[in-house]
Amino acid sequence: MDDIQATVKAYILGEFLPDADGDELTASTPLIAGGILDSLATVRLVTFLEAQYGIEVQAHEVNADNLDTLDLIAGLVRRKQAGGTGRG
Amino acid sequence: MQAHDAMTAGAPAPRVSAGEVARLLFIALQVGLCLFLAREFKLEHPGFWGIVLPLCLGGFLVHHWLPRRVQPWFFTALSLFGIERVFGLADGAWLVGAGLVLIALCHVPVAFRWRLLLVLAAAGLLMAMRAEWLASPWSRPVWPILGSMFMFRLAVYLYDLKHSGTTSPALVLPYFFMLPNAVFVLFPVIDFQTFRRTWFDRPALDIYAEGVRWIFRGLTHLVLYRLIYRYVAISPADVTSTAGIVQYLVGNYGLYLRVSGQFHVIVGLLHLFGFRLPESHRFFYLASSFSDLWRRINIYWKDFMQKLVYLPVFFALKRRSETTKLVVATLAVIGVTWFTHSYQWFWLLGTWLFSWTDAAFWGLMGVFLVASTLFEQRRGRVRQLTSKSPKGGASWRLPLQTAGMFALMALLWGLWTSPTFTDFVLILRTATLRAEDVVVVLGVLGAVALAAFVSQRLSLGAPTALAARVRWQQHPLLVGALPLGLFWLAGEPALERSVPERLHAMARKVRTEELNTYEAEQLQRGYYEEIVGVSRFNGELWEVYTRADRKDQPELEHEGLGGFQDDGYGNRCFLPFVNTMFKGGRLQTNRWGLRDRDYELVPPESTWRIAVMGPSYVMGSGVNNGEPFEQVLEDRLNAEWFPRAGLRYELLNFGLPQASPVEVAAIVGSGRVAEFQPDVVLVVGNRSAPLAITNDTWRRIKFRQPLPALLGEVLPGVDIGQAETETELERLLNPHTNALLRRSLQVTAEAARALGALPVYALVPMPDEPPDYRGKAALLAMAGEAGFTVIDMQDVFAGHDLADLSISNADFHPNASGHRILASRLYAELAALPGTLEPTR
Repeated sequence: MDDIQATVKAYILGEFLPDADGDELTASTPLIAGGILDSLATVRLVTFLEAQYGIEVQAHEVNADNLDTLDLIAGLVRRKQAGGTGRG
Repeated sequence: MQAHDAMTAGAPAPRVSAGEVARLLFIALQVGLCLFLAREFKLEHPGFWGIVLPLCLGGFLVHHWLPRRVQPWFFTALSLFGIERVFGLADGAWLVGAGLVLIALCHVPVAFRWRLLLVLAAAGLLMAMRAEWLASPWSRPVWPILGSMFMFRLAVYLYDLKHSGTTSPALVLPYFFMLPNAVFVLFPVIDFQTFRRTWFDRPALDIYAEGVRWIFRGLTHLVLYRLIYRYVAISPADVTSTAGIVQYLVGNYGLYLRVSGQFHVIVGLLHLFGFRLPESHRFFYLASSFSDLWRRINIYWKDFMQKLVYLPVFFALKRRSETTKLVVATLAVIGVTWFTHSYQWFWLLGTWLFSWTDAAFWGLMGVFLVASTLFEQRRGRVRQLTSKSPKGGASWRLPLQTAGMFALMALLWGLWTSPTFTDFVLILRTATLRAEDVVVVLGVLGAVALAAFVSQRLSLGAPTALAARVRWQQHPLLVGALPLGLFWLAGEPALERSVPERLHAMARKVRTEELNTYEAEQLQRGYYEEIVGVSRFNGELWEVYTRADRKDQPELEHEGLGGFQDDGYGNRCFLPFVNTMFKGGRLQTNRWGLRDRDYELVPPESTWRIAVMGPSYVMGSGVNNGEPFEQVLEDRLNAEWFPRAGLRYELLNFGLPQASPVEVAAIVGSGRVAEFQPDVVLVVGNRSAPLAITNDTWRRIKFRQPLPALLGEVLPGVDIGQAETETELERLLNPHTNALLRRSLQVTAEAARALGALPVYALVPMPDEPPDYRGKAALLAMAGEAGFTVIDMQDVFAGHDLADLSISNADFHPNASGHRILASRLYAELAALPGTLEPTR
């Protein structure tokens, strides 16, 4: 798990899963399909990513292709930092 | 690597071992069992169990062995074949052709905004055709399916085209032409990116197995829906106590199982072709809050709204406070949902749905959803990574909250599906406080709380995506096939003596697709023509409406009846010399305002006159001049009975649409019939006589016409004129309909005798009525006691196919064939009764 994944994981555990066992949240846990990131949690996470990494996420990039797992979220952040765009 | 990437790289489908072949066959066996059960229970459209399910079963077995890159094309071909099987070649080709044009417009090589304009222009053209401002080259049944395929998916597709730029070309056609969509009008709004992303994103056999689970769950929901539809759902007019209110509300809310069942089946079938679409409607009756319900019930709609409305609005308000963004975005979602519900109604049924109850429902949903969202924003929501049962206070708080939420939703649903706002208020006003009411209320809430408790103990509410594996106790053969199979067995004639009589009857009844009493009454009233009165996507009546025109018959030309006038005796009659098309039949009235040939007022010498009284099918609704049974009978009597009796026969058609026994009594008693000096007054009635009395009375109240004296005579002290809605009137009249019917028959018979005519009562069914029914003997006895000579023709249509006898598959008035059958039987009945065709010697 890289730095971005670890940071995002800590945020998700702290904000949305305060009672969860951190080991159960892996890089491939389905966050959207699994109901952890509902609409409210998703936009909060995006706000966090924008503030934490100085990136700007567009509305159409807020989807499972970019945010369903820690792995995908880290990928989105890296692409954004490199000046690219998210999927979708 | 995801499967669609593998496809574009040209990778072959992974090879399967002998063990996997066995597993594939086991899955096929389960799909076969689904097919058997769907066919036996006759679930949904015959095209579902007769065409789509067999095609899916055979198709998926072939599809599995094909190379990955070929599979989408095979699925498309299978879907197009299914469309052709359901609609026929011409309509099927139009449907596919129109769809291809719409898809092609999305790819015209011009700037996106021009493409969008082109699509909007095409949609506008289609809307004009749907509204019948312009002629369309295909028949009406194509519209709901075309609408269902493109009305929302095209918006999603355009959105993705704009933002992602690239698509998976091979998956575009399968996305729009999905095989189950050939028969299911209510279809999940599947997201294109989800459709693409989840295609074979897991091992194929795991996806198929999941699909079988959804299909079995869907079939179970559909059978449960039938049971609720038949045995729980009641008419608003039947609600007279708190227990009745609970039955009405729970029954109405329970009818949504049909949509849930259809969605499960659709998504399950798509799994068989690798589309691992998300689970929807997961234990939605056990939602503990509005936002929880929104996340459980129709997640396809939730995702669609989130993508196209919620997120764009939220991001557009980026600099506002989080609360403002949440409230505005949530309200925008509800507002758009309300509007698109009407938009969906337009594409499926051809007219816009705007009603106060609809607006109130969505308005209240918006308020509750915003409140629930703000509550979660401040207090947080319990989310789980793994299936865990809550401990401490939460273990009992959640079931109670769930029971409260269920009660609130049932109440809102009741409002939504009530005919009018006033009706809903009047329903609530019937509340009583008896011991049985308390027991019923607590029983229902307790059952929901118990179900929620069990659900949380077994972690049934957790999303499947997080479940590690399916436990053996949850295997579809155990939780789906076994109970359905046992219920099917309970209805088998061979086991009739081995199972309780009531269970056997229920299991038999649930296999037939017919309207329940309430919706049959609505159909009889012609409510299907005013579809705002049809429950919102619940109930068979809506289904009847969407199938209003068969592809193998011409559309019914309809110009109306031309109006009514006073016959000079205070009764209504047709305007004279009307020449119109009514429900596909040429209809003319004579100078006397009768739908009939012309006759002299005074009968010519040696003429035997029969005045025929009754409702719309006596009038000859939907058949041409010369085809109503009384005219066919008249011709035959003059051809065959004349040589024997030496009399000419004239049958005068006094039939009027929705004529009730009370109105018939008024007409016969008023002197209108006496003018024509009939020898026989033949009153034709059917089992809907009590309903006709309510309809007739409501028509008079609505149009501020005087009420017949007979009503005041039978109902002294009942102020029916003050009824605010038809439902309230029905509730007032229900306890008295038998007395009204009895008195109407007495007055009619006495009036007929007073003018020197023989009163004859004929029980004549509509083609959709059963050959016998409870209450028939009592009605015939009532007519006999009133002084009528009685003819029982209730079984006249037995052995005939309804489709061959009715003017359309949404309007069960007899067609010309039906009228010929009636005339033939009536001829035989009258010939056997002395005094009906000639003077008694």
